[in-house]
Amino acid sequence: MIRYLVRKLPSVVLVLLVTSVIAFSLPRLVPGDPAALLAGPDASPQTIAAIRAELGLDQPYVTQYLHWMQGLFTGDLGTSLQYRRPVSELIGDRIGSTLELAVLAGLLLVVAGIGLGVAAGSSNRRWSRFLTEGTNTTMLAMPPFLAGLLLILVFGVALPVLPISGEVSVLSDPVIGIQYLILPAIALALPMAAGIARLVQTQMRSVQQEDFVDLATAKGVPSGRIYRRHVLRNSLGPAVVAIGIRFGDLLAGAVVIEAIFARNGIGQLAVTSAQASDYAVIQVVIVGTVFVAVMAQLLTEITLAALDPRIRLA
Amino acid sequence: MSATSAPARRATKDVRRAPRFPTLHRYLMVLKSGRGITALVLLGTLVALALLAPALFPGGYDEQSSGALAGPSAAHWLGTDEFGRDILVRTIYGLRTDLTLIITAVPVSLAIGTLLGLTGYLNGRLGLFVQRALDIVLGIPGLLLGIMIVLVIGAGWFALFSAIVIAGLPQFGRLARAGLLTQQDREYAVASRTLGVPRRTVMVRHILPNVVDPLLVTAAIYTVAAIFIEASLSIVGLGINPPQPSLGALLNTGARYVQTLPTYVIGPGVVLLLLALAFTLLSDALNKAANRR
Amino acid sequence: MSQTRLAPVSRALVGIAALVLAGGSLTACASAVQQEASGGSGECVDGGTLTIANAQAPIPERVLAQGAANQWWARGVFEPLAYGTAEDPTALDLVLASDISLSDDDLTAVITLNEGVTFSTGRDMTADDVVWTFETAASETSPSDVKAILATWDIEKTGDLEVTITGQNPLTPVLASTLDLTPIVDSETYDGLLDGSQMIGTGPYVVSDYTAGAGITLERRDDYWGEEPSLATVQVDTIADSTAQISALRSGSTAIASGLTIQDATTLVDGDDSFSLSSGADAVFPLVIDTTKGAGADVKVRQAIAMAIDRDRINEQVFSGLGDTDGLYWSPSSPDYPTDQAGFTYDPDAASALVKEAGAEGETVTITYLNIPTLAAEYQIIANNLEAIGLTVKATPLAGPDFQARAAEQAAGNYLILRGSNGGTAFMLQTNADLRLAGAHRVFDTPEYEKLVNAVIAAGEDSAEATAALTEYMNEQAFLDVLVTAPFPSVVDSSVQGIAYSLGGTNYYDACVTQ
Repeated sequence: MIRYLVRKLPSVVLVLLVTSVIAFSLPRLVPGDPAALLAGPDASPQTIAAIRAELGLDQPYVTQYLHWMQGLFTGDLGTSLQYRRPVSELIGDRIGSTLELAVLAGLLLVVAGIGLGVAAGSSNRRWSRFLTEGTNTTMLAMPPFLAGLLLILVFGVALPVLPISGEVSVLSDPVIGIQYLILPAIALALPMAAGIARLVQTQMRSVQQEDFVDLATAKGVPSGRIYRRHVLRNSLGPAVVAIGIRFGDLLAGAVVIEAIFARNGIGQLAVTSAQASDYAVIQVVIVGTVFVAVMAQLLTEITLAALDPRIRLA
Repeated sequence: MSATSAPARRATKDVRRAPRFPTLHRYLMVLKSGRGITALVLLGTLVALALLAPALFPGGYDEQSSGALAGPSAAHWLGTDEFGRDILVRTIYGLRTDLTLIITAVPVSLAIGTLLGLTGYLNGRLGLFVQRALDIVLGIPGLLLGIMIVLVIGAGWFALFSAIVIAGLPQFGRLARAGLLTQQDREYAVASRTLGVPRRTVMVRHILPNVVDPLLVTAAIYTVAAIFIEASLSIVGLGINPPQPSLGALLNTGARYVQTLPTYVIGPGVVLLLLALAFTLLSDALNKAANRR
Repeated sequence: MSQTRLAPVSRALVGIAALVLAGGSLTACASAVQQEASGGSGECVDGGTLTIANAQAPIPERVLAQGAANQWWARGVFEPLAYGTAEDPTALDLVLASDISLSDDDLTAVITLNEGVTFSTGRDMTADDVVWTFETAASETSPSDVKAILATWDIEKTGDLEVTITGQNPLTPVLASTLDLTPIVDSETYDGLLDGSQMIGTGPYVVSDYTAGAGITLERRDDYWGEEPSLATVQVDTIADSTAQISALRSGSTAIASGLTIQDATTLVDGDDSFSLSSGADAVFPLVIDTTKGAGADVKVRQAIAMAIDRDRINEQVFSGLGDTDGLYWSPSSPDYPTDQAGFTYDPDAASALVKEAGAEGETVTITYLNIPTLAAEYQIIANNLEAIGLTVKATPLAGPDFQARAAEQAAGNYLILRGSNGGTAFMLQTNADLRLAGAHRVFDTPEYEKLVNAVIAAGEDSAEATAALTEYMNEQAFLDVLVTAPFPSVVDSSVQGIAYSLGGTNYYDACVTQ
């Protein structure tokens, strides 16, 4: 496995390097000037120019890029143009919130996705199949923000048992914190869980038709054992892949969910920074999320190998 | 990667009663399944509504009046919006916007993505490079990417179109590449090459048809994602330019009146759900068709 | 219908809210919040926490400027020499100053400072701090909205607690607003404002916690030089999304929601007796027309546009009827307000005749606007109105950095914007980017306009005639259509009492929360 990772290293580095170029240029392609925003709605061109110079935005792009890269390698992520605070601090203040949400949503995603998928894949009665598949299809067609809006309506008006706004860190107060986390996590996870469930179900059905299942049945292996040892194990591969890919989507979904549940997370930071042309923040967020995605993909491949001995990491 | 929908073994398919358009025929057969029919009926109805909108509501989507935010009535089944416009009319025109958007953007994304994925056939290194580039696009959170694209291009229809096209490239590219990698070492491909059949012919005759199945299924799934992209960007205020309605833009405004005029959210919400549902069911049916042996 | 929504007292406060603080004793100004319909006003508690949800994150770097970002905390920490008043933009309510005397020619003001004023670091505030603050506010990189006026002033220390201002134009029409918008900052820690690491003022509160982009918390200062306020803690959370703000308010996790659109705010109040609307300074919403390119280059088309827009409907449907449609940029409380020129003509038939006459039928008018819900809503009605007179209308909604960069370069074309109604006519003419002569965002510029503007500024207190002449010229040229002047109401829970507004933001001298 170590050898596998070492072999992968150059391509990972290359990907991150290219990403940094994209992350640097994309926000700067957006027309507009962050200095104009800082200068205020009534500002004159002179004020804007002076603030541009102060922010170092009047320097050539290559210089700015090299300066940023130099900072990255020395552990300095840069300084937000909008808040004049270290980007590391802005992210540090919010990473906990987003991680809590992503972890709980990720757990829900795995449990609900695989659970629902297995239920649908193993139900043979017509009505139960209809029910599980109906639920699943509806969830698939439900965008996260609509799910969130619905949850807010239900729990904000009809059944006020869970908080619908704000957040408390789970680390500082687990009991309260988790309550604040439940609704956003559900809204974030459920629509995606449906996708996972769909995969597991399809896969289970096709595995059930494989010869080795027939063989095991013919040998008189109990059906429960067939399910656990053969069908399930052979069906989860694609689900793992999908969950790995979906981790990035969790972050993306967090943008909207954080907004409507008033959570101050990375997603919110990304959106406000993008709209304020806060280059320093967006470029770090983009490189960071691509980094996470690359790591998640590596992990997925390793997990896949563990699940299926036929796959060799080479 | 393409484990979800293993390419069908069409090459070894029996040829006794082959219809004239085998692929089309196979899809038509499977669309006769329960899901397929539901999807087609649903989609047909929605498309018909959208097409007929100008005939049904010749006044267009911007007929403003002083009667703002009125509740449902015989004249306005879903009530009127903040400018006194009929919400039902706007919902149907919004559906039209969404349909136009996905019907143009998803195929373009599919085509470009597939071509990018197949570049590996021309040159192995190029293919690998494109693959890595697409991985990067996939790594950027979708909505953030969408926001950046809209900001670069400037809010409006074309920005939404571009966001949908670009966000879909990695999925189509990956699938096409995976299909290419499995197909190009198959006996028939190797044999054709050995026999001196031109590369282009091998590609068009043998490789492309075999990646079509998973691509079509993914296109249907991605259409649902495209509807969500439109809606999410509208939620952050970067959707279609007013006064043209879209389902996402209607939901965004409607959400504010959820207490006083619930039909403002329910109308577009239900239509959006139905539209997404139609494509979800369609992808199921297509998937079944693709996996039919 | 507006009476039930926005209490009469708060209408009076609109413009410049009043606060009287003379000789260290606080005189309460009427609260904009207490008119809750349900009664239910409890006893004020000493101490207590006021929680506010604001759509915009604090930007400490901009405390010398007006803006929604710092509206709910800056005046708790930073105090100006004097506040303006709602009734009269030329009257002063003294805070850090104990006396302001003007010379007969109205060109010199001698300002005496209160004794015993200290910054929260413990240091005494002196005339040096005042001079330093005004010079900093006038500097090139400063975000101050009044720097155009400060640039024409000569500010001198004439005693330990005395400052003398000498202006090139009469001071009375501009003094109150300018002082109100220039809070005194601490020269020793001013750099700390850049990143918010140190925020030191003379006010009754100190910043106890600040998380960039997420919120700010103020605690009562124990060595405040004046009378200690009742509220112990003011916590401002940044909640940008309107759904989330409404949820926060409904669930009781916040007592004030600020930054909702007027429609959201009125909808919320209509459905619930425990909330009321409250607002500070009005905003003016103009449509500024590019007179150099496109259809707007023809004065006939501009006049047609002015007549085509149904401002009453904009007021009703975008501003819930809370605004005024007097069609004038000037504040009605300004002494030179041209009452007989107030009002507007809505005549689509005459407008389309004018468009035909100009041969501009079917010509495209592109309207640029800052992409916020209120302006997008305004645009929809305007576009509908202009299409009705035979023009083709296109939207260019832009994000903040793009819009503001274009506007400053005079490259925004025809644009929709909102500006604070911050003072008298002369004040607006010198500071407002749509009106001022130097560094304006509007493109229109003629010697005639320049002459008329300068006449108003030079006229001092007797500017009624000059203002009328200017207004007439502006209406004739029709390069600027003032659509609506409207408040920016926040939604306030009935447990909150006594918050007061000034141009620079909310203050809490007399605020409290009930149980």
